[in-house]
Amino acid sequence: MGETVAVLMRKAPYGSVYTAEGFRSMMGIGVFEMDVSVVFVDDGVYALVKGQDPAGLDMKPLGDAFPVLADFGVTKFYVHDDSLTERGLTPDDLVMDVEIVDGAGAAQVLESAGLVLPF
Amino acid sequence: MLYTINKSPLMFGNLKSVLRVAPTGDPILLYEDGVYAAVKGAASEDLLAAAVADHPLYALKADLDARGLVSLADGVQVIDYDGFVELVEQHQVVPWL
Amino acid sequence: MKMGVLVLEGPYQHEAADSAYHFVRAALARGHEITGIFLYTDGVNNANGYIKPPGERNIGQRFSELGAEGIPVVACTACARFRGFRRDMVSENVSLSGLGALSEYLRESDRFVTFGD
Repeated sequence: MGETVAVLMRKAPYGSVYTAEGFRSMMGIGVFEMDVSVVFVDDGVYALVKGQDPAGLDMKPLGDAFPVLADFGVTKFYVHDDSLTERGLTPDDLVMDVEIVDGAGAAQVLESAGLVLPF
Repeated sequence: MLYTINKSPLMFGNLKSVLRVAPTGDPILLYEDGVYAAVKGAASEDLLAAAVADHPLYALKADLDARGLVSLADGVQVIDYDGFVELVEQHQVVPWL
Repeated sequence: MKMGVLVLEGPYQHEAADSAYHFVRAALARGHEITGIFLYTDGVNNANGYIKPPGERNIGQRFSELGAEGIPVVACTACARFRGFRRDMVSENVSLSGLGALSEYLRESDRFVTFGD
């Protein structure tokens, strides 16, 4: 039934495991040739900001890893406009080109995917 | 789609955040600590009224009962787990964790 | 309908595993098929066969019972490794597997519901 899935990223990286696991699930599901869309809303947008350096935490950097997902067939990334602006961010602050969407646009992506995996 | 919320509106912005994404008419389900948004007279009542104005709004009975919540704001429809499943039959689910 | 379930939190610390269980029971009562329950991140701890809560609901046993009823209950292998969760600790009727299992449940399901923090 579900050949398409949207991964909904609402949480900030490093403070909890969800960004890292969301990323891992995208690779894992993408490799099984499902059609994956990724939607970043609220603190989820922090996952994509440039300049992340978690060396002091002995953790792996997450932001720079997202562009690599293209190799796993995951190429559709959407970022919620208000979530960006209310954090003082612009698309130039992000590690990759994404499609900027408003709330209705984000809902549309979730709806057309049907199944939603939240992290 | 069915948007589900499991966080208290006085501690977290989940309900507020859902309201700027969920299209008018899409149902919202409050469960776990999300049911605190259904309380009559809470400081979050205006937020709830905004939700009720645009969305069918449900709260899960087992979670309300567990927390002793009996006085609910206008427009909140109480459902049990059977009703939760029925909503899922009718809609895809967006867990707003 | 075919419904899949994902659990992102362990037992007792958060209500998620309880909610997932009650949802699954209600879905079965309404005649639905559960394609699979995937226990991910700390959710793998729900697969611990040594859970013995004195005088309390046994969340580990709940998932084991669902497995015994023929519902695929799978805990994430990599998450288990990250948590020192050994293969011989896994409850009866529950197995360890990778994200391929999650992909399979997604593919087979009309609906998919995630419980977490």
